[in-house]
Amino acid sequence: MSRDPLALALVSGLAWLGGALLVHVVGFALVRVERRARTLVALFGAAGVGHLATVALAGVDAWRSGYGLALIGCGFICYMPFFYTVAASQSVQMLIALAAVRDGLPADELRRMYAVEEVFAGRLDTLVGAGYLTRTAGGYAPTSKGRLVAHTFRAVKALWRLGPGG
Amino acid sequence: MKGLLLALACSASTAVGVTVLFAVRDVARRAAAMAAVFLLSVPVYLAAHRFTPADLGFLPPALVEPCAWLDAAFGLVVHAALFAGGWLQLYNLADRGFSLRILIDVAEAPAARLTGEQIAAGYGGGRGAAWMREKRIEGLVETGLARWDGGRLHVTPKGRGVARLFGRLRALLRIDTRQ
Repeated sequence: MSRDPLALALVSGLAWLGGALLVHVVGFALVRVERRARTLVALFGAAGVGHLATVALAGVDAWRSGYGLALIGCGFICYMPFFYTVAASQSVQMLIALAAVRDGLPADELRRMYAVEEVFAGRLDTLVGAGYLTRTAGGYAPTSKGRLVAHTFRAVKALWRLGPGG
Repeated sequence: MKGLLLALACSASTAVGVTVLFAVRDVARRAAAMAAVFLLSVPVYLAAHRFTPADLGFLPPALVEPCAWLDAAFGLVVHAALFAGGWLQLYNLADRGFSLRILIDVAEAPAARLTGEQIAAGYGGGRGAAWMREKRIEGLVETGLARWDGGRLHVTPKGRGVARLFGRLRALLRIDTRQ
């Protein structure tokens, strides 16, 4: 193997990234995980720590060690949206339901299967659980974290002239 | 370090380019337009890496990579990841995020407080909850994954392949809950 410190750092980062993904797939296949997002964050975090330990043992300098860490970060920001598409996309779930029937589904049946009230209730629970909304006597209110995220994305929508979205 | 700095500069330029494009033109297929801006930035990045000095005129010798191609490849990976996992996801969330839309609706309510019924009724700028579902059905048809035939929605061969792939992934990862 090359002794180039950059090559060592990148190989270490790639190996730990691959390890995190492998543990994720095998782990999730064997054990039903309730807190999937937190588990994934913990796995990538552990990969980062493992990488730093590896490059420290190999005597790689701090700058190049950071490159390997950046590679793990790149893997994280690209993998998480893909995972959420698999896990939570409404369109994907509809498509799977459609593919499971031979003659397609009439609009009414599709609307009955995807009752929006149920979907909304699930998402509101998720938003409360993640600390973006809080339940109050008068309904739901944003937390300070939720307000910050909402205002940030509102600004992005205005800057890029996006519609209401959703 | 040169590759990383050039990648960060190209990524920032891509974001500026996308912002200017969206500001001056009404773009119908925004994700495709963003991808085009990113693809235009790739040769610019490669040319900048090829034709600028190894130390960019200011880097200390310790931060100059002896293996130029590896430095260039690392920078390209960072640039691509910042686009695919960063800017493009920012757009996807801002334009299509279901939970985010709910959060914005609640935060913008006059009393910053809404009941579940009010959230559903006012969803998507007042279009209502059912619009969210119709938009997704429309999206499946527009992307060629499903088609209407005799009042029934059918999966296309392309859609069947995508459904099979995602179905297997969901089964493998033991994801069977609707969220």
